[in-house]
This record gives sequence, structure tokens and C-alpha cells, in this order.
Amino acid sequence: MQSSGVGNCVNMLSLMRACRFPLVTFITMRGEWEEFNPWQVPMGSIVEPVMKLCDAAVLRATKPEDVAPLAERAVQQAFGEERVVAVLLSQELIGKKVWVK
Amino acid sequence: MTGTLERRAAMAALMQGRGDDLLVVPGLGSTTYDLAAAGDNDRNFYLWGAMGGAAMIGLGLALAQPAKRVAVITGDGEMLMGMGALATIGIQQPDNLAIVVFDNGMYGETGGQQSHTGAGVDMGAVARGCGFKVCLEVSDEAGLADLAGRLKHGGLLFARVAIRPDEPPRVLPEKDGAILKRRFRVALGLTA
Repeated sequence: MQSSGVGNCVNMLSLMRACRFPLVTFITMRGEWEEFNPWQVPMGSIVEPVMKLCDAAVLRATKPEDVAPLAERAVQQAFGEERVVAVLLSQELIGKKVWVK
Repeated sequence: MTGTLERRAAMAALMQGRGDDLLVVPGLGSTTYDLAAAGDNDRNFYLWGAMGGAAMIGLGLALAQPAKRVAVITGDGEMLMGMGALATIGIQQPDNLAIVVFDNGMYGETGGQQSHTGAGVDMGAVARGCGFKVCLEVSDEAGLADLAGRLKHGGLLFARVAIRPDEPPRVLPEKDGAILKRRFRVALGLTA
């Protein structure tokens, strides 16, 4: 999901914690790197603390070569510890959104 | 729009003669109590929270367990909160999933405030628009008996059960989510 979607998931994440469901989520970040749309900043800037408050482990990839090892670690941790692991894919990694119009 | 069916009797009618291949996900609140009152079963995944998630949990189960029949039995308030799930189910078209809404037109758990269905929203029409080809209006015993049969055999369906707005004494099942998950998995023959 995108960072803004995290805000819509907060109560639903109680399912994972109450039932100890493993969950790996990849979050593409907005609002943190050359962001054109200021409406992406409020949620984008609080994704990490919000996910941590929801008892998720948070990993962050900023370079392409980080992604595969972090993904592997996230799966192992999520299933090994029966918890939520969020892998944040930095806006720096994804690249600037191109606004053509 | 308000119905006359009594919710506990309606749930008991739907669960009558239930086989081991039926997995049931009730929504938080009254439908969880109704299902517990109809008889505890390891294949019940009682929800005590995650409001708005029942239908999507049911979809996930239906896709993961195609040989089983999955029934989500939730309230109108819970279904309204996760109405987008109907669109996702509509495009997935799992043939082993039933979404049943006990509709009393109000939020019973928080004091009886009117819900959107109580104000006229037609949830069956929403489901039909999302691609549910079978949408049932259940308002009497004959309808319940028909729905009970379809829960055992039928394909994808949506059913609105018109219940009357009353609140019978609570029947509280296990509420530890990890225990509910593990006993459900063991009943399916999976590792705990």
C-alpha cells in the first residue's frame, strides 16, 4: 500500500495483534522526498511512528539493493514472531512522481 | 425496512444441521454473541474487533480453503463500515462464500443509533451492483430455511436477513484471538 493507506488500516491492525497473525506489508512512501503534493505529507511523515504504535516492526529500504534482503528478513520475522513487519520503500528509492499535466 | 425475525432464532436456524465443512465468521458484537448462542464450534472465528473486516476475512478464508464453505454473518453496521469488501468479492467471485447481513437498521452495541440501512440504504442493491448474482431478502422462516440450505451447498451469495431491533442477553465466547486462531487452524488440519 501507499503511506496514506496506513492511516486507514490502524484499527484493522488490531486483528493481527489480538490473534498474533503474521503480516508483511510493503509501504511505498510519499510526502518525504521531492513531494509535489503537500497533502501527502501529514500521513507520510507519521507512518513510521504509527506502525510502531501498532506493534509493527519497521524496516526501511532506501537503495534498490536493500529491498530483497529486507524482504527476506521481514518474512522471517513476521512468521517467526507472529507479528506485523512493515517494509518502507522510501520515496528516495521509488523516485519522484512525475506530474506530466 | 425493519424486520420481524428474532436474531437468536434466525442464527439457530442457519446453523441447524451444520457440517464440518462450514466455516463461520461473525462480525464483532451481536452476531458473535448470536453464533456463540447457537453452539460453540472450533470452526467459528469470532470477531471481537476489527470492525469492517468480517467480509474480507471471509474472502481470504474462502480463497485459502476452496474445498470448504465460508459464511460471514455480520450486522448492518459492520457491513456498512467495510462496504468496499463487496466490490472486491464481486470481482473475485469465490463460489464458496456467503455474506449474510443481520439487518436491524441500527448500531445495537453503542446504544441503538440509526444506521444507514435504517435510513434507507439497500445493501442487497449494493451487493448486486458489485456483481453478486444471488442476492436474497430473508424476512420469514421459509426464507431462513432456504438460506440454511444454500449455506451448505450454494455458490457465492449475499443475503439480508431482516431481524427485529432487540438485544437479547449476551452470550460471550472465547475472546483470546490467538486461541481462536489456533483452534480454528487445528480444526482445518493445519499446524497450530
